[in-house]
Amino acid sequence: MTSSGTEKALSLLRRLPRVSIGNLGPNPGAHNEKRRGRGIYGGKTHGAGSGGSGQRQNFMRVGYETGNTPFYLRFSYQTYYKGHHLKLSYTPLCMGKLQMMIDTNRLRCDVPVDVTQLMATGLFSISPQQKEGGFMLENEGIDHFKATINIEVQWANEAVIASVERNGGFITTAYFDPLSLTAAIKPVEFFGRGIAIPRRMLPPQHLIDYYSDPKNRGYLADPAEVARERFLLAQKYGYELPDVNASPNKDILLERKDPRQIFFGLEPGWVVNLKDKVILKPTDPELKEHFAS
Amino acid sequence: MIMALKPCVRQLGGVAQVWRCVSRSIAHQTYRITAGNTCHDINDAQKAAGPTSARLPRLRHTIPESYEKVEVSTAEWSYVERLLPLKSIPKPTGNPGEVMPSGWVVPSAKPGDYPYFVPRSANHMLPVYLLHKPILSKHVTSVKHVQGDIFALSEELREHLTQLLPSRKIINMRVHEPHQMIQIKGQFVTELKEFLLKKGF
Repeated sequence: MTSSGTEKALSLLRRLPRVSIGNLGPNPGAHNEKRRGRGIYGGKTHGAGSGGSGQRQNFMRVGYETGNTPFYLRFSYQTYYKGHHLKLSYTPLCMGKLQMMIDTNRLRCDVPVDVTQLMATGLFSISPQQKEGGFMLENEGIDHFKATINIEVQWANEAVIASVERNGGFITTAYFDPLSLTAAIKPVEFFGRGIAIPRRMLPPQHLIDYYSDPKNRGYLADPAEVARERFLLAQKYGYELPDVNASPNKDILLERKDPRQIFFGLEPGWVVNLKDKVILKPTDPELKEHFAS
Repeated sequence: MIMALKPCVRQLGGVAQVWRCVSRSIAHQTYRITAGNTCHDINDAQKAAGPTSARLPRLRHTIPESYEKVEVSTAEWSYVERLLPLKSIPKPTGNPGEVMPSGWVVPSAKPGDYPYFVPRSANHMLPVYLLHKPILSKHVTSVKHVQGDIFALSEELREHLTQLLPSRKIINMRVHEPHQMIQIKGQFVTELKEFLLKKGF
């Protein structure tokens, strides 16, 4: 008969995550945290202890101002860094560069253009770990932009949206949380990990308004309002909105992702097996409900 | 193509409702589909302990076997193939000499047209580069991958620049034949690119 202590231990074992390098640590006292000797007077010194003025390297600590409150301690905070850990930076992509990539066949236009397709060109690098959110389109070259594309980026301003739409294209701004972005920018590496495609998370509070605004063609905005804004923008900039139904690429131009989708056509919860070239889909109703929520 | 998931935001109105939706979904756990990852069933121990004893919280510590059952499909494989990057840089298409909307020009010159030949770089761009160490006010324009009679090209470039900048008395140029490169002191990237494009390189 097992004691309650053993039972508790076993139940803990069942609940806790799998033991891995990431959650192991040494026992207290296993590692000797010996401090390096400094100065010429401490035991086991690393200072030049032979004495003599030529050998003394007894510097005061950096910033010490011989007694008065030093500069680095005078102020308790610096406001210009407030919230810097929450702010994302975006890789700038000029419309001119986008046009050049299309002209030189570097960027394929037979599929909707999104973060994955832009990264597949090999011309950019994004590191979500460094708080990079994706791509933002810049104004340079909007006058010469002639391509009809369905593009999904993370940030776009009014002029850029107008330049895409007047050529009959569609632009959407969409948020990718860091884990989803890691999967989106390197899909082959992600599929190699053998885990289910995650659900894309919703934007943080300070970005929700941006992505819900039809003026920014946000992916969370009402499609009817987005259509209305397209019409209004055409009037503002003075061009006629081309009819998408007449376009030969109608299917590509009208393809959109669900807010919880990372890849076109692939749903969260699926596992892609690149080696056997199959997709494994969960059948359990609870799992399906979770991934579809 | 547009999947039939239930978007938890699109049908809702304001921001407050969005967050309600998110908190509901955070309550669900993320489960990994793994093979053979079953633990001992603790239900027996819990039942033996009785309803009044310290119960474990709602978290499940066994992965049900039904989670391991998967449906294998290849219907959506075309969507996966879309995501795979190309193994090599694609070749641009276009008529020789055609100017694209971005300003990129399809090369039209062939080796033999001139005593020299300047091929495009691996990314199909002109091999004219500006070397500049920001800390120094030194700029060097360099034309690379020059094949054939590099000295003939250097003379033509010198003539072209002298004509463009009559006030300049000296044009410092360095022809490095083994490295197939011409270096010119100053910033002449635009001028040299225009010159090469006119030739058809």
